[in-house]
Amino acid sequence: MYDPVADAYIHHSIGRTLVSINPTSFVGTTLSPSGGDTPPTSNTAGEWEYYRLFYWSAQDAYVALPTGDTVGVYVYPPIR
Amino acid sequence: MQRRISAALIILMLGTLGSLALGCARHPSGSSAASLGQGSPPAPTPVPNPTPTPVPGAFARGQWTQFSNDKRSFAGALFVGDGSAPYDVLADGATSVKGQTLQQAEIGSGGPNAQLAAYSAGGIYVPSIHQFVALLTSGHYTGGSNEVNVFDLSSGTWNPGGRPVNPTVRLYMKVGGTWPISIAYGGYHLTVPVGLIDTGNDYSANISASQLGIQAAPVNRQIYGGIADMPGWNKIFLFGGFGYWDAPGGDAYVGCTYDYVTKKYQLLDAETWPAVVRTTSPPPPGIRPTVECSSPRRGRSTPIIPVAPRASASRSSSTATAAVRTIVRPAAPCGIPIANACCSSAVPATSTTTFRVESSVLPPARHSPFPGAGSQRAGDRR
Repeated sequence: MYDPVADAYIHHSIGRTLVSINPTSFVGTTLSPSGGDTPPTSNTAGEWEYYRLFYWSAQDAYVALPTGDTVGVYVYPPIR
Repeated sequence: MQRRISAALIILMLGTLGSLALGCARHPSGSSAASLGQGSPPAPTPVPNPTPTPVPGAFARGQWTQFSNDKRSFAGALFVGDGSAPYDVLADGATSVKGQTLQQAEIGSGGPNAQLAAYSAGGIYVPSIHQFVALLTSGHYTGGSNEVNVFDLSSGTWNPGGRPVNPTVRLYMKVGGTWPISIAYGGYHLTVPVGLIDTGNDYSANISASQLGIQAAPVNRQIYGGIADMPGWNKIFLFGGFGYWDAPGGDAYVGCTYDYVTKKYQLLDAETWPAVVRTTSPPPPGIRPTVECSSPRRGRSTPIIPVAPRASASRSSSTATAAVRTIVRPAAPCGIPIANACCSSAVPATSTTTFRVESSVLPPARHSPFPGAGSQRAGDRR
């Protein structure tokens, strides 16, 4: 997904881990939150999450719905 | 208008980069009472944009927070049959859906997770309504349906107002099954139809007539990234992907939309779809239906479009060749808005629909709320 505030592509891979990708250099930076809840991992380590990771502008947050068994969704407001 | 469909296609193609292309299908609910779109296309109406319940800043920054006010998942939001018509049995007339999801009745594999997420976006977030709309999704041999379920970020619940669209149960077959030719759109690809003709007029509440006037629901597919929101038009656009269970045997090569205000699907069968990478034999370039009405008193009233038959072959119980499929069914009572059918107020009558596959010419669309569809051929507008 695209984070319009940070101007970065965001990939949700495994559990809590996110990767922020610079759209110009395409260099990825791993974000590994130490606290909070742990989202399930979608099939093939996030490859199949597609548009079920999206930006929620009202909360300035990322929302993940990784699997069909995920209860509700997982919300991640990035640190600005 | 044409620019809008082109833009939608570009967005979709970008989304599907690296994936395969082509596909679409869908169908009914209980919440919409809108009639079929037989008149002029309605003007797009902006959707109200309510303020989400969680106040800004409700979630701690820098960490994940699970958000649910009903403790339900996509799996728990799926349709489960209760035995009532027209959501009782599959198209084979024997397989009951009572107490099961459609995937379970179809004996699809992988459970709801595979249905939502196996090579499929499963749906898309629509910012204007603050909802993730899950629809038309399938995985490899997983089955599934054309029901619509939503996760509402404002309330933190699935389907807060009820399920927007229930599946067209009676139009589905089990995984690995062969569709009746009367249901498969155009009589083509009987293991993965591009659309499901609502032969019993059971699901009109959730189907707008296609651009060619066919009352047909789209079929679920492995969406990959072939899905896009159409802000301002209140629609979700889908195109491409492997249809239903049959990967890579079938693909959804006719685009479609789902209107999240009227809760209706529409097949975009009058558009000229771009050539894409294919793994199977080419689809028919165009499917042209005509409707012929007859009654014992009046006889046939509308001539069938003459066609040059091709060689072939069909096991249909009605007239059928590789180039022509003809469906005969009882006429609906007059006053029921059903596309592609006749009506009869007094005498028994039949509706005969003939699909003609054309090699190069597409007929003008009658009408369509979809941008780009109009009275001209798509090729002429470009």
